[in-house]
Amino acid sequence: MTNSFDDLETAGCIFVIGSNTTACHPLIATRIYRAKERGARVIVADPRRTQLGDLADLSVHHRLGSDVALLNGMMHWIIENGWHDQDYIAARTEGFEALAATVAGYSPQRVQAITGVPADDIKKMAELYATCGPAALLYAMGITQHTTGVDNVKSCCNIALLCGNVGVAGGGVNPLRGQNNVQGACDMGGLPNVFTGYQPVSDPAVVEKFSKAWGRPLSDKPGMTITDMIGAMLDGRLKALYVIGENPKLSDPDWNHLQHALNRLDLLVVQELFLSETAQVADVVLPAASVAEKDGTFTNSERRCSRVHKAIEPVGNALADWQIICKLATAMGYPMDYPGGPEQIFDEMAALTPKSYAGMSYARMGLDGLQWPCPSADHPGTPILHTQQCARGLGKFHAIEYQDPAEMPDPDYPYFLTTGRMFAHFHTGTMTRISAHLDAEQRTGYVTIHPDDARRLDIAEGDLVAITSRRGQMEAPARISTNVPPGNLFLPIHFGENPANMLTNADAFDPLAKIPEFKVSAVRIAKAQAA
Amino acid sequence: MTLKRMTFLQHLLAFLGLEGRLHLEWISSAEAQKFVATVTGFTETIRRLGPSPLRTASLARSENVLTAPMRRSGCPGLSQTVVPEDGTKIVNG
Amino acid sequence: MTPIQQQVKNWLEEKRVDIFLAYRILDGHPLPHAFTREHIEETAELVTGPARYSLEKFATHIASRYPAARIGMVARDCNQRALNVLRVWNQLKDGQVETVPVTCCPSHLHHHADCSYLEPHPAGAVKQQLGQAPNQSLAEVEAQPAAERLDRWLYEFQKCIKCYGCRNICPVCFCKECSLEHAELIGTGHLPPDIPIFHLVRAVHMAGRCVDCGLCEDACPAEIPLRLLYRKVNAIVKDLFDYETGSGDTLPPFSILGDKPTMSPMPLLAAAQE
Repeated sequence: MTNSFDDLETAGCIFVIGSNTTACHPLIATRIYRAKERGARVIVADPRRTQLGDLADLSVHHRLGSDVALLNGMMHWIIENGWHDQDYIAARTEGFEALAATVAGYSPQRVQAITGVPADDIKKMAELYATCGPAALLYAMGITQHTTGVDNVKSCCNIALLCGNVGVAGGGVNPLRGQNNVQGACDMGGLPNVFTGYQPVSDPAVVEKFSKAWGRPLSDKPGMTITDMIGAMLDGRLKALYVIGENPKLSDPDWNHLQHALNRLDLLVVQELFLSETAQVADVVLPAASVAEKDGTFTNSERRCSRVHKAIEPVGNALADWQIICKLATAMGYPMDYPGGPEQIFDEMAALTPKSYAGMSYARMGLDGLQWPCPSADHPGTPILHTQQCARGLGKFHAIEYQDPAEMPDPDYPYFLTTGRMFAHFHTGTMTRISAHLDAEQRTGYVTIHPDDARRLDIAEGDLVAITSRRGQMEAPARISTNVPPGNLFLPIHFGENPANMLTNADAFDPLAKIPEFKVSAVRIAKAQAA
Repeated sequence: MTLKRMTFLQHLLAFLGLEGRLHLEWISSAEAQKFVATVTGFTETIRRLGPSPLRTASLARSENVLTAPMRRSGCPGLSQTVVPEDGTKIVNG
Repeated sequence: MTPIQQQVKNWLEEKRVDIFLAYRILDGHPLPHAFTREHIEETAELVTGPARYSLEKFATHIASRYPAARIGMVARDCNQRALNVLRVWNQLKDGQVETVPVTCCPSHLHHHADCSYLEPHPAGAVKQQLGQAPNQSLAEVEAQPAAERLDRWLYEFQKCIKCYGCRNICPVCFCKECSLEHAELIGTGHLPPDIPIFHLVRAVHMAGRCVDCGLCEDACPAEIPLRLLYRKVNAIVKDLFDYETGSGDTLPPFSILGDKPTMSPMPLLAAAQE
């Protein structure tokens, strides 16, 4: 997030796109409720009907994967009416002319044809966003999990820059991260091409700094993304896989494809709390300590790094992740030991991460934590990014043309399928499905289908529906609801016995970010034959 | 106990804005006339009150209500027109 | 040591209580903490102040697990009322909990809340237009036309994310099986939860039980004015049955609990069991 959770309450307009916020980020929803009740306008764009959409001033349902067209259409109308912030654009951005030329081709009528959103609504959205500022833009996986994920994000940035909303209180471009510490994991260099704090491995000075600190020459070649790894497993370039705290067997696209890849491995090691689907097929399972059993820090969506305190000693022979990694490194010939525990690791990391973490320490963090960038010990942290200028200097507009998702419905596979979370469970359910309270809320997977489609296919509430894509087939009980538009289906991702990723496409991913297109597949459906 | 609970519930529903839709009457199996009069009377009362506002209040639909159309905008009382007639821009307080 | 720290230390040392529930500062935040003889030195860190939590809920859990435990706790007026309700409902034994009274925050609004910490902020303009502002009197709510009143409540309920925070924080929610999680009473698997049944079921269960501590409203991430709703159910109980919740020794009018069952099994059920 460029801005902070608190800051959302000061927005004049909140535009939520591709996020079922009340179900997936409920405490962000609290901020939106507060802003709304104070007088902020709320716009929700989502292919599905959501709880937040029902409470919004304006709620639109654009066709799956048509985000770039929708945003271009809004920008078209903003520029046409002169609502863009010309002073801000002149002082702080570049590339406006190219953007204006591109969005000129996205008239509300054309965008209506692409997105299915009435032209009048596109105009109203544009007016609300541009004239009720400062406007905060929020998005989640509905924007990123597309072949055009990077284009979608850039389009979100475009509209924010266009209206002067980047670097101001109550504005910003605010991706809602999917886990408590996914921001932290990325900050720590849990990406194939960067060290901590996004210092690129392609920078010789950076590689030299880390090589010196860690006492070994380090590679200056980016590693593989998960998407690349699956291909490498299949063609034998990757022989061993070490999975920490992830359940790819359920969370990665195209289940059959992944099974095939996993079978080719010589060694699969899984570090987990519970025997997840992936851990069940591992050669070695390393028992990891849970959040209650370890000390350390988490960094959340608003870049806030805060302490996590150990409440109980690890149960059984579980160890904190850092201890397992130290033991493994030592056994493999690189002695790694931190007698000072997580704090010593944090200090080492902070010293190597000058721009964002250098000023942080356990002593300074307290219970409330600090928001990066925090470059020095007297720096208060940064609630809002880019207030003076963007990270690269001038904010860059990207002129982006709309592209269809990789797979559109056709006569063989006539339905759109999208996947996501439901409120009672988290990801692959390794933690939530073993909670009696949450399990009682939702015990099985389901597929949401519009009543018109259900009627046509003679499907009643609870009937088992067979869903087939080009990758595979699975079954799930029907939930008949107008929360999806006709011709669209929704599958929650939490349920191993109804794995949504049997159907999703591993070959469709963003060329840059390599994020798979979980949000759009083409499928056909039929009432499952009784066994 | 039933009387206590029903009386309580009538008051609670009234506080919510749903008055007159809950009725309790003791009728013995020998009191056919009273039964007819009560049911007829209450049916009339309900008819006069019209369909339950919970059914028509767009807010109240749960996810599984088949008949609910996809709605664009949510709350009763919220102005649907975001652009005033005279073309002035909306200023937020 | 402050007088209260000394008092708690003495109580533990004299074995007047086995455990004492109060607050301790962690990283600048007052958090609920159980003080014990084993860690008597921690009493030097005991604080009171604006922090509020349903300490009596911990007391109930401790009492159910260790029936002989003698429990001490700091108590504001709302804690005292809750302790009394829990005693009346047989969740705590007479004399099992000994309290050190602490003053509620000074407030000129004693008719409304005994603690300024929880005094609701003035509702925003849109909440006043669409919802139920939490700082209204019951008379103000009742003055709204019925249809508008319903719309306002439905708006509030529609924000619910079914987190159960209201129930989980509630000092007088102690049932082993909760009606809110009974799949045949309340539908599962969707948001918002069934409107208005979810909130009405909870409201009914608050009648003659709610001590008006306001922790539910404070915990609610959707900022639903729950305290207002529950104040009404207690007002109904007072008007209809002259029952004052939180004081006295009698169970509320709806209670059929007691030393002996007061109802015989229904004929069919009795026959089935034979």
